[in-house]
Amino acid sequence: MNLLDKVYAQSNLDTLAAPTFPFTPPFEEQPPATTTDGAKISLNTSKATLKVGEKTTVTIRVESDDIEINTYKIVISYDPTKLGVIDKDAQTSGTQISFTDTYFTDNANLASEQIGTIEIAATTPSSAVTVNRNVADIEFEGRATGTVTLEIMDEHSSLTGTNNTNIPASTVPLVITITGDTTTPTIIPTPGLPKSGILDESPVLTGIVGILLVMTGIMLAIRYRKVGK
Amino acid sequence: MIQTVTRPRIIEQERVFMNSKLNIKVFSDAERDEIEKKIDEAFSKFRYIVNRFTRFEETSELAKLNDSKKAFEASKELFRLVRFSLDVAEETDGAFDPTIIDLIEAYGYKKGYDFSVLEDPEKIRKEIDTLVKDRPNFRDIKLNEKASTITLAKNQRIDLGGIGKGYAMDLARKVLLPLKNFLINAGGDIYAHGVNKENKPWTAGLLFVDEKGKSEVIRKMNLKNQALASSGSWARKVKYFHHLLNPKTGKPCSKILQSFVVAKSAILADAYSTALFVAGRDGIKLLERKELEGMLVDKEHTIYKTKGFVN
Repeated sequence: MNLLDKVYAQSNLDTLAAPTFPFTPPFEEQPPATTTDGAKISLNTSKATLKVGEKTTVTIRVESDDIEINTYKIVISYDPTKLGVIDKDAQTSGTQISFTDTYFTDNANLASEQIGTIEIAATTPSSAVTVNRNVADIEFEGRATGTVTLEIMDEHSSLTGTNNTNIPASTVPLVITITGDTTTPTIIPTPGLPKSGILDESPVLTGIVGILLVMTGIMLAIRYRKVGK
Repeated sequence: MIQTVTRPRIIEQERVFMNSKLNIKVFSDAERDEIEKKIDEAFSKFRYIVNRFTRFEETSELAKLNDSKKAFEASKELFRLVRFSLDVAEETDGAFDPTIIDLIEAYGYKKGYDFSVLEDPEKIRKEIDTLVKDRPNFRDIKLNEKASTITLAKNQRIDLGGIGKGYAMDLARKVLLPLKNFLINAGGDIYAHGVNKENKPWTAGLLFVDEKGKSEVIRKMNLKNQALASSGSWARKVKYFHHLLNPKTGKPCSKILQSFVVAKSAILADAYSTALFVAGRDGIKLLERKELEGMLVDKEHTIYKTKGFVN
């Protein structure tokens, strides 16, 4: 039986069996490279419904699958009349979000509250690598009731591989609902003063009694001065 | 309000370990965190096996066994692995032999890979001939199951490299079983369980590597809760040396280019792909006796296979 008439294309295969070495040195372990099904940029949160004045954190996740990338740029649109972005870097002018990707260097991090966009961009300091992790957190605060779609703007967002290759990536938006129940400061009830009966019921009488007391005081003072002389 | 994703998804992770790429794919509707936790745990089994049973670290249990001069009280796990190795050695009449460290090291295949010795083939030939003449046999190892002791003959050592990867894959498989659908690829040795994202059995391509290092897929097969292992001589050959030695001659097997074995467990597939490579065409009968499936490609590129192996 000849080998060559049995060649199959490699497509539609889940994996390949190949000759292997036994378990032998060198014992080198490299950092894990996590991959998933297709390049993807997604937004996630554990709290998608909030009240006006309440806060929630939205995570930006980049999954380049098994494709090595050099840079990523992500622009997110939102409705600034309903959601506000909490500034995470008071030292820098403008509004910044939390850049949490410790492997890449951020070269853009700015939220524009006027037009309702958030932009982050980062580059690997070394050669291209796979990226399958959370890269940034955005803290939002509910401003007005309604529904806001946080959308990754495809036309402005990109994953770039070696030789500036654009890596197509699907995007997953996120919907946040801000309900009408405005959160207000909690009021701790204080114990009420005991009612005095007459005074509480008759404010006018209270005034008259006060005036009489003052007048009595004045008269007594004049009298003592005369006696003294 | 955010929609919770409940559809089954593929999550894949890859690590480089022991000079091999380890890849695990899971197709499951479990929570991502749960899947990733299981995958991490599965990967940790490979590190565990190396730490525990490498012969290169003095602190490993296997290294202590190899240093022992008398009956060595082994853990149940080491005892089981050694007994398994010796059973396969017996069943294959020594085609699989876990005691050929001395022969392999004579070619420089040891920690640090010092292949400079290959520059003087005549010197190696003499050394190998001497070793083969005087060395103890795997049958000289004494096992005492009750006392869980292993007694090696003088100048005898055991290497679990021939089954370590398969055993680690089986441990990883146990970790991943609750996720139902997964694929483990340890540098070309595969275990597949359940179905892929098309709800069909996982499909593996059999990659053949020829004498010039050129590779192509020569078969594809479905794996249903099965392991597939391959041994090849040309994949990482150094001059005239490759690690698949004939234990009886001490020389690299030269007639076969590659073997493939399918079995229910990765440890079986791992051990028998080596045995099939060394035994050559006789190994096919051996597999059939063990009710395993396999295939050989010899240096003329002729294929020999068991009856049940994929066409």
